[in-house]
Amino acid sequence: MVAMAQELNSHPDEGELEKYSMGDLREEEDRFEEHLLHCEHCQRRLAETDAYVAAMRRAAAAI
Amino acid sequence: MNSAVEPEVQTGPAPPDPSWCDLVERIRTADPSGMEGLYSILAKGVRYYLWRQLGPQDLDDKVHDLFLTVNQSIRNGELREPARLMGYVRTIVRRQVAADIHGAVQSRRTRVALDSGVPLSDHRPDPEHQMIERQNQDLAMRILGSLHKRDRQVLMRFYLREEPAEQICREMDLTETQFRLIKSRAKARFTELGRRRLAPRAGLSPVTH
Repeated sequence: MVAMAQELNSHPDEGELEKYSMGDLREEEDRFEEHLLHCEHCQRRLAETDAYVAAMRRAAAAI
Repeated sequence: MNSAVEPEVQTGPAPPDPSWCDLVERIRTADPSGMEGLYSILAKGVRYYLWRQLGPQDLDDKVHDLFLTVNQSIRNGELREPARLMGYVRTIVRRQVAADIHGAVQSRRTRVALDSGVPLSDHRPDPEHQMIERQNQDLAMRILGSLHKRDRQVLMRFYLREEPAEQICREMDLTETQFRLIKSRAKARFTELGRRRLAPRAGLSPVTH
């Protein structure tokens, strides 16, 4: 139970944020979304990552 | 929302969760502080999740409906493990998203059949959001344009073609660390340029935060 609570409390790292943003987190998605629901810090980080990934995709497509 | 700038990046342990069990018990016993507590903890997250999945349309109503559903189902005893509150809420949110998407698809089919393909509603971003997207794209193009050809190729294969990291590393003879460095440097540059772009505005604004 303690391990589960600690896991739920851990902020995802940049790689996980990027994978989730690109729809590629898969098996870790449950834990990630449960954390995201109550962590404003990670909501901001994900919004930034979404913006970055979208910008890179559009820019790469335009080059 | 401008999502290009974030001065603070943290990873690792976050502050402890609130006590879900106590919160659930208060909701079960119809203590008003229970729903208030749940709302204060989850309102932003639920709102953000629904906005990200479904867009801004009827967002307030959707958030409201979701909290009513969660409240009622907890009071009905449907949450058997209070410590799993977040997983339970997530399940309900996902169910609502799925139902909303299903409803939108059905409405669109009906409407298309009746109106010969007239769009149901306008889902384009608002003008401010469009402007931010354009600015973000300009930043990304500056970054891609400033990179060595090989690094640019890595980013294009990863973000545009969505090739797996392992494949890119193998075919371009990169270690995992080199690959991560190329990506993290580009993102750090994007954040830095975004911060610089916003700095003059922040100086002029009467409201800083």
